[in-house]
Amino acid sequence: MTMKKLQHIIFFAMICLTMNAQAGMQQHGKHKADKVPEMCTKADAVASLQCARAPSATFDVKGRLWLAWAFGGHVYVNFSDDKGMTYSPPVAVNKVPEKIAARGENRPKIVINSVGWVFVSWTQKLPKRFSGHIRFSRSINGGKYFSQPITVNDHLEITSHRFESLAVNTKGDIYIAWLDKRDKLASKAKGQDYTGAALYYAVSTDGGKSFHRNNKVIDHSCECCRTAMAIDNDGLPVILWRHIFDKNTRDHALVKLTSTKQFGDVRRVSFEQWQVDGCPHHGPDISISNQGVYHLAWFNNAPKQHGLFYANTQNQGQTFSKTINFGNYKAAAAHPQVLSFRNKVYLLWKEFDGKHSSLMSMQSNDKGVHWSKANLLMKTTSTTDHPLLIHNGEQVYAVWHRRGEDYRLIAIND
Amino acid sequence: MIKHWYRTVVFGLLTACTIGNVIAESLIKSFTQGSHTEIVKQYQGKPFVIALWSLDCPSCYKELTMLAEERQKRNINLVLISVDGAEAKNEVEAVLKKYALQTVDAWLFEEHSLQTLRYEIDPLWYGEVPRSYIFDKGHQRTAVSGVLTPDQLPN
Repeated sequence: MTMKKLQHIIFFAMICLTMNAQAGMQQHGKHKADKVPEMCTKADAVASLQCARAPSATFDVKGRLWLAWAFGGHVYVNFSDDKGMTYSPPVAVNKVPEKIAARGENRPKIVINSVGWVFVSWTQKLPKRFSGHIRFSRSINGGKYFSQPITVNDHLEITSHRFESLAVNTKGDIYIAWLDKRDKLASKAKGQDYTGAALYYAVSTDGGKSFHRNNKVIDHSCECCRTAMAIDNDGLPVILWRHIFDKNTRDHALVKLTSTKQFGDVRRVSFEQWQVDGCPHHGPDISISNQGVYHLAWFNNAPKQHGLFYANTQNQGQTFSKTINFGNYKAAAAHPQVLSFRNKVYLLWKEFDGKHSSLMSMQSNDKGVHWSKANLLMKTTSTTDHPLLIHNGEQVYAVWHRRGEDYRLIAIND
Repeated sequence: MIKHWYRTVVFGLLTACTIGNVIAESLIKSFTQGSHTEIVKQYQGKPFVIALWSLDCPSCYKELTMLAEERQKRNINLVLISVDGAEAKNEVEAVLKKYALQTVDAWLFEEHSLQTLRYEIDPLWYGEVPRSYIFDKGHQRTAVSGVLTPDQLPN
């Protein structure tokens, strides 16, 4: 072979490489810079609140702010004694890394009992699609050390046990409710159809050392929306979730436990009649007042009735107040939170105008009958998490996580 | 003999080169700012359907099955957009392959269910999936939440 021919071959090879590289670059060029800051995505990124995924926040009885969040296969907990200006170094809850569901409707949860024990739950993602285990760990020394995580679902086949909610009462009993597909799996084995998932719960009466056997509340919950739970004045929890009524009507329902092992009738909460064979990824919220009024907020997207909704019940779900439609539907009002504090009720949600996300709130001074106008709390162009509402016994705060930014409390004033 | 060898190498290189480029082109595309407008323009004057789905949505697999079946029967201008985000690219490609949909016009949100991208498609879409937009010839569109039925697809 002559030198000239060799040069030709090299020349063709170069053209080919260049063409392929260009094709690759076009693909890459279309991919705009990642919204997640580089400091959070590089290989040696360290666990920090700025880079956290899906933090949850709560105050303990002494006014310390506690957070639980996910980063790189671990759930971390840290706290702040100055209302979120500075935070303690994070402590890893699970020492052995595992896949943690921490996006949108899934986030690690944290609650503190009256003597300062810290309880954390999360959904561990398993290899099969839609599968997960409900995990739990506690710290009895103020968050310095966390117990080895336990799996709360007592059905351990690889299927969906996900979307948990967590609450603790003044006695220290810990309740976890979640959506579970063990019955769907059993139906499938028999060749039968099964719509959605089922609502299950478990209770720990030994301070989080162990959980009693799982109890099923009802079949056919919607399968991809967060559940919500609050403790009633008798110390027993009320669970609110999106349910599948009839064939595919995804409205909401609540149930109140009447003892650790028993529960009352399932009550239908919403009647927007959203018929959708799909995943709304949009769960409800509940808060219970000192007088035992259940305040409820949710999203629905039925052709006629859509947007954010609020209602309450003064008799444990036997009857409900008039439903109020709030937020600006045309501005994508979404992900509502409700909080009852002293004699007021607060609603929080987010809106979007194509560029800016807005954090909105409104409040009622008369148990949810009349409401203030919607207030703008904050506006940002960052990618935002779902907002949360918390209080420290004196003041109500909104929190709104944006990856790469400081985690600050936003006081909601009258 | 030497001359033949030389031709074979050049021909082989060009073939490999073309295949390489075709493969790069057929990869799932990144759905980012402006992609929606680009897609609509691409199908100008033609009826088509945009079907949005995600890996974590059980109903979406029902829809993928239906779409694959319908494609066996007739020509449908189908644009499949996964909202899962670039990090799920391999998994999304595997699903498309499994459902024999790897040759459709497939896109993937650059970030999971990014609100700015959802807004570009439709300010009144709240992120529920499956979500579809049926465009008629004149590009009047109808939004559908939940699994599509074959009769909703454009002719």
